Amino acid sequence: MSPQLLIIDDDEVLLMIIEKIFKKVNPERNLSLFSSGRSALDRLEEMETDQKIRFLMLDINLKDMSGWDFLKELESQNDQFSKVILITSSVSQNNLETAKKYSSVIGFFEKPITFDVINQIENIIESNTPIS
Amino acid sequence: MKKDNKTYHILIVEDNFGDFFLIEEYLLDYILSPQLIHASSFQEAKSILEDSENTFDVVFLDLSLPDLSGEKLIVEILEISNGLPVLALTGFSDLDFSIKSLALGVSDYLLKDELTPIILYKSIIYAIERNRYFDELQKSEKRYSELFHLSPLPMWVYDLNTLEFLDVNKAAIVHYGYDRQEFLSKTLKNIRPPEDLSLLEDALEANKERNSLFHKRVFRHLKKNGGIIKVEIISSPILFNEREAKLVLVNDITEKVHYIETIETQNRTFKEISWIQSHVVRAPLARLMGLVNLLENEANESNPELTGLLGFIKSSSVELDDIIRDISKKSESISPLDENEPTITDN
Repeated sequence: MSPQLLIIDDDEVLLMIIEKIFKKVNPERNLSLFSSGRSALDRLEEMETDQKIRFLMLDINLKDMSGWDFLKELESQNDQFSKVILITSSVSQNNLETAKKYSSVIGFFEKPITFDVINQIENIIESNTPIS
Repeated sequence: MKKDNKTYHILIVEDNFGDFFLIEEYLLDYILSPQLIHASSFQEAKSILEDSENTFDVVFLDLSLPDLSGEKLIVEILEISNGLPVLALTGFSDLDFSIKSLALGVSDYLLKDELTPIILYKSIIYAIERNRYFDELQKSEKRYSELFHLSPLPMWVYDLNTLEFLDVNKAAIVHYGYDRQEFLSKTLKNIRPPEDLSLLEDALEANKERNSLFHKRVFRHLKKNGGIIKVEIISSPILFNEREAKLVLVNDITEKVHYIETIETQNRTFKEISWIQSHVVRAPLARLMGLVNLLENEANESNPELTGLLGFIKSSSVELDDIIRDISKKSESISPLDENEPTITDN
């Protein structure tokens, strides 16, 4: 089974767009949508026992917490299995610099999320999935 | 014997002609050609001295003239002699009075009975030289006093031990609102807001340990009207009338500080605005661009007219995106006023 992709963004319209694009690009992709950081972290805790690689598309500006707080919590739990692709609507160069400090981050994209972006994310997921 | 060939203009106020001729004779012993003018009464002397055509190097004054004598004569003559050295001549020895006349401002006190050519000559030379020296000293004192009193910046001198004001200049009086007498009855503590007194004590303590000639610090001062000003103080040690003191120059920087604070506030607001531009405004735009991308994919080929319209929406949103990126780039190039101020990231 292909690894899970958790999409965390408080913009419901964006979640819908991402879901629709994936249906065309890779309908097989196992998606879980979260509109808050907290709900995603709770889900990850439940998945802890799986011992399987999973991928996260994480928006930096969540309403309940910042993407950075999310990452800090993830790393404090010593989570070795979550691989994060950051997405942001901002165009600030500082965010990319900050993102480099977190070892769990494997990708960084600016919105809008388009077919092109999803294709690139698919490639990242493919190349980071261990051959089982 | 070689005679002094300088030209000396001498006024001799003497009612006794015998004494006048004696003095003239004595003078000629040492001076080649003394320019002598003789007055035989106070009134005559007065009109000569008040005539601006006449200039003298020295005045001989007999202390008993028919129309005026003694102390009163000395006072009157000194008043109109305009700083000239005045040598008193008297026929009788009165040590007390001679001391008194010197105190009044007479340059020397000569007894006619003991007069010799050399004593007379030396007395003239000494009086002239001494006068020139005091004159220069006075000019120099006046120059420094003017530097202090006419300085456009407030200045004062305070006693290092009692903190009393010893002198204040006009600018300080105008700036702080206290008149001179009020200032001189105060100490440094009286021009500080009460809550800043500990700062003053700290500064004075630090002062004692420091030997530097000039020292600069910023304090808050209290004006007479209760207004508080921020001032930059430059002080240096000075000996004032035998008292250990400090000379202080005050620069009111209240306006400057206020100005900088205003700019800082505006700068912060400006950065907030640009942060909103690049983060908040862009979020719905990014969503719109995502939707257009999705629609383009849906409408592909099946509906060329719709594709064309979507193309216009897309180019409009790209245009708007470019503007936001431009603003964001500009705002990032603003250097923070305070080096420690963090650059704004997303929380």
